[in-house]
Amino acid sequence: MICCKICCKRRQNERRRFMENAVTVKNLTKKYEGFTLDHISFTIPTGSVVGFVGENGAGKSTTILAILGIISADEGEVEMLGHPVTTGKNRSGSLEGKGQFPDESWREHIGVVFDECNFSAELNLKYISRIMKNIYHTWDEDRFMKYIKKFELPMNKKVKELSKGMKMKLSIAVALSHDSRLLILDEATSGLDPVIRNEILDIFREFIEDGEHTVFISSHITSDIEKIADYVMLIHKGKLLFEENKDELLYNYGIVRCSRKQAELIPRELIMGSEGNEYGVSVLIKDRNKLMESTFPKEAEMAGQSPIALDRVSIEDVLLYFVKSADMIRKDV
Amino acid sequence: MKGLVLKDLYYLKGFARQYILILLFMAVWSFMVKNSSFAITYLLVMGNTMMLSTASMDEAVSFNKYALTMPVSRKMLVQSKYILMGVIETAALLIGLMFGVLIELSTFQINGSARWIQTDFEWTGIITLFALFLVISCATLPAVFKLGVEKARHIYLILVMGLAVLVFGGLKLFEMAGISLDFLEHFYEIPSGKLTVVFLAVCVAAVAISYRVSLRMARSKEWK
Repeated sequence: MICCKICCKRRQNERRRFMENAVTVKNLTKKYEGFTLDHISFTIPTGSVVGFVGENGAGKSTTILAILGIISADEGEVEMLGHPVTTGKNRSGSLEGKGQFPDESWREHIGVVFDECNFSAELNLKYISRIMKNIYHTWDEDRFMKYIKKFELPMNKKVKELSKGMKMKLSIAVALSHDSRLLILDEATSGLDPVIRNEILDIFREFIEDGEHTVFISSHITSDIEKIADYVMLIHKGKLLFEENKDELLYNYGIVRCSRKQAELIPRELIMGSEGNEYGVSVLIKDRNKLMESTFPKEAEMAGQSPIALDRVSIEDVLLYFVKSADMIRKDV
Repeated sequence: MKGLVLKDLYYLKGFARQYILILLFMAVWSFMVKNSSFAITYLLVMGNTMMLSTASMDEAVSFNKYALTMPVSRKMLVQSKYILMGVIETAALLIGLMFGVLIELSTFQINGSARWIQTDFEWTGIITLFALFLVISCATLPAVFKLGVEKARHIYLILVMGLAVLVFGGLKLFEMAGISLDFLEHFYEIPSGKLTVVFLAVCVAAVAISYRVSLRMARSKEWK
């Protein structure tokens, strides 16, 4: 009876933790020659869409592979849907050891789409459905057929006969046709035309509608992230530069375009990055309201020959300014 | 697990027509020369190639990386390839046996008294070939998990060619040195039952060792 109560409580705690965060990552570190994923920590709240942006080679895919336990991490802890993920090698150098999280059933609730279709060119959709039925206990053939119909994918054609967009739709259909609660997409929309990308983003919106499903999407196409994400994470050269609420970020951040002399008057604590040329400077600031409430507008007007401009930002702006500033800091160091 | 084996079988189904044509050709050839040894050797080589082809198709689309995002463990990935090896090698053995028996039956009609002697001789040859190629497959599979299919294919070719060089080169050397090869006849004097047990034990040991090594390789492999 006592044991039952303890089990019940443990399950409740797990459920609560799962309800709060779909993914929790602490100090994830992976070292390669010439690249280090450097003590990455973040959480992905359940029911949200988190966009993971960064330039090519920034560490997005390495992070995703490490949190999925496909590559070993040198340090760090990962929890997915309340389950610990084996991220490091055990003493014998194995990624999976005896008694080390042998239960992989939680993976039933994760759908992953990589930037390429991972089904062999020789398979057709009918075969893929049969294969998946024998891998996922929660495989829903009807749901798969529904997506196939929705995406207008030909059932009897082989994968090699499908276009790139069709292949990506197939991968997404597979990811959504079992009991996925967390969808992880690694550059899944790269290389697709805007019409297909938009269709796919609509599907992700539908997926999270009930508040119990979560999407973690990595992309260097920032416009996609801007359309769909609730939170944005920026990674650069293996370091997580920020994790912010997207709406707040777009509302608060701004770009001041002014002369160099005027730029020197901007309160230091608001500056997140800058770039300049012989004609003037553009400064990324983290709080437009605070800037306007400060003494800067008046002082700038008095100091400058031309009026200052304060523009809204896009995620692409933020990415570019952050990356440039991070590189400048590195060079200075 | 079942899904992984099914996937490999669907891969192979895509080349079914070619395999059937080769099989028919081998059947005709065996009946023409009244010997199934060449057909069996060819089928066993083809079986190994089929196995490597499925691994190659997986590798081309990074299937293993994808599979590990599913409720599939590294152990299952390894097990599925050994099950496939078992299915393919057994099929090659059974087809080879069938060829052998059919050839014997046709020989029996012409030369009835030679029937049992011939059948015994064929069985010894078949089980020897089966064991040899199974051991070669067992040596190749861990390389698939450690080094990738391309390098494993090279290892496989080196092993097959090495075996051929060893056998034919050895025979030639004996011939040049003037050593009689009559002692090889003793090999066929060993009761086929005993030989079968010995070879099956060798096969079981080879599979067990190979499986453990493959599992070790797969567990430390990072599929990117």
